[in-house]
Amino acid sequence: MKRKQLQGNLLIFFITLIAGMMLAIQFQSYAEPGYGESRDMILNLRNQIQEERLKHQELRNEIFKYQMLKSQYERASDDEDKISDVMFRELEEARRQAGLTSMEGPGLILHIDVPKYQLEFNAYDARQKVYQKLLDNDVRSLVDELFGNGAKAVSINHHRLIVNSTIRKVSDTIQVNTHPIALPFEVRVIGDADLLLAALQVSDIPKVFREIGLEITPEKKDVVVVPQARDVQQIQHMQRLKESD
Amino acid sequence: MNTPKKEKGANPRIIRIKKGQVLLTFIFLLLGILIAFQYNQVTLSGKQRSVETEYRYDVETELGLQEELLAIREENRILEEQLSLLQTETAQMEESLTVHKGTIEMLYEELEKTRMMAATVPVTGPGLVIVLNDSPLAKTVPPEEKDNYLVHVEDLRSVVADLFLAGAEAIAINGQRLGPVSSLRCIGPVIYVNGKQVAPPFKIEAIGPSDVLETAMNLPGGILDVLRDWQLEVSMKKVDKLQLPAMINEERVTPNLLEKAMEENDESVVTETE
Repeated sequence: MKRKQLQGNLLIFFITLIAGMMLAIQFQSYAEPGYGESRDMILNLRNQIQEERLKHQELRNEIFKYQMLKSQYERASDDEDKISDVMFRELEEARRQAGLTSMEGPGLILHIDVPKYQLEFNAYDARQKVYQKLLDNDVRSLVDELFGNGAKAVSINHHRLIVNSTIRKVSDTIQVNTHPIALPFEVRVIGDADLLLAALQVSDIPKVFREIGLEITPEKKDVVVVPQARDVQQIQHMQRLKESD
Repeated sequence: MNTPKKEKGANPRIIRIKKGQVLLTFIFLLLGILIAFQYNQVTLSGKQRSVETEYRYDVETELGLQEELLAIREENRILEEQLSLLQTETAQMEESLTVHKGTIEMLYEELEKTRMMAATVPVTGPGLVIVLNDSPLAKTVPPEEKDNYLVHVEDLRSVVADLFLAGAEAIAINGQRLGPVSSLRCIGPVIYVNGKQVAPPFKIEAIGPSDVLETAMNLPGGILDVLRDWQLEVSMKKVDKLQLPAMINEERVTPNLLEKAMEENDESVVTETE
């Protein structure tokens, strides 16, 4: 009898102890102050400063370039050959920036395809099935991730991406610059390969592609050749803004 | 059969036990509360102290960083002015050079066109302005549904793609001109255009054939229709004269061009840049 009573008492002891603790924690659980914002602010500020620094450098480069151009024109004075020489070089530079010339440099080639083991059985079917599931937005986010991390030139299956390039799904086919592209994709990128790879890996892009059923196999290269744009933009409506006010 | 017997025997015992145990229950409940409060107090005060010191440290660095940011912004603004002045100067020079007809005039025209395509110069022209904003419903719906009522980077990408397909020649989002290496990205809750933060409302300015652009964007089932279905605020307006800034991007001076130019005007440039 006594033992039973002791057991009962012990049981009550523990149960009430726990209940008491729960009660107390319940009371205090919402008393925690939130100081997390300040840290975010600092990170945010640091990022902004980083951005402005980058812009600073870019502006300086740009100013330097224009100063040089100006002095070159001044030196050429009235010599037509010299003037056209300067202009021609300037044109070449502008064409390079606009993506109208092919570009060579260190970078990456991304091979995007269904996993190898699926290809062995029926490659066409395997690819077709996955291709239906792929959205234009998936490809766009991949491209934007590359450009956002310093890619200088990108092409998808030999279609160079320039200012007015579009990636769009039109009735089950993905079109790049209005040209349909099929699997496997070969994305050529000029830029810092390590940086691009690191950025890709931390982004959710490989995950999204894997869920669809596509594998991204990166290949680092010392020399990547990105072709020039094929369809050149027609300019009819825009003009250079001369007076900046 | 046995149950009544048991109850009879058990009843007085239960009552007896209760007397002692009710008291015990209260005492232990109190004890539990005390222990938990004590424990919480100790850990909380430790945490609070560390948070407070961190917070103080943060305020100082925050102010320092803010000053730094303002200073560099001001510097950049001056540089920007300098650049646009230089740009107009060279543009005027180039234009005046076209008195030499023939090759130079042709080269100049081509150069201007290519620069516009590279988005390295500001441009003007007629076009369309689309403004996208988060739905007012976003504030009222439960948090898990909120995502449906916000403008996402995917929506911006779709609008931009459709505008370019419809014949837009130049586009800027919240004053950020889209160029050949532009990117629209979503990092956490913020959208970045060309690596610069932008926030809703998103003003998408597109230079191009405004009528064609408007009809294309108004097509039923188009992206704007979809966005309107989600109660996002979408407005569209044709404008006769839009002005879009240049895109300034890094690595503009190619090394070989730099070298060539350096060889040619070695000293004169150096004095000018100082």
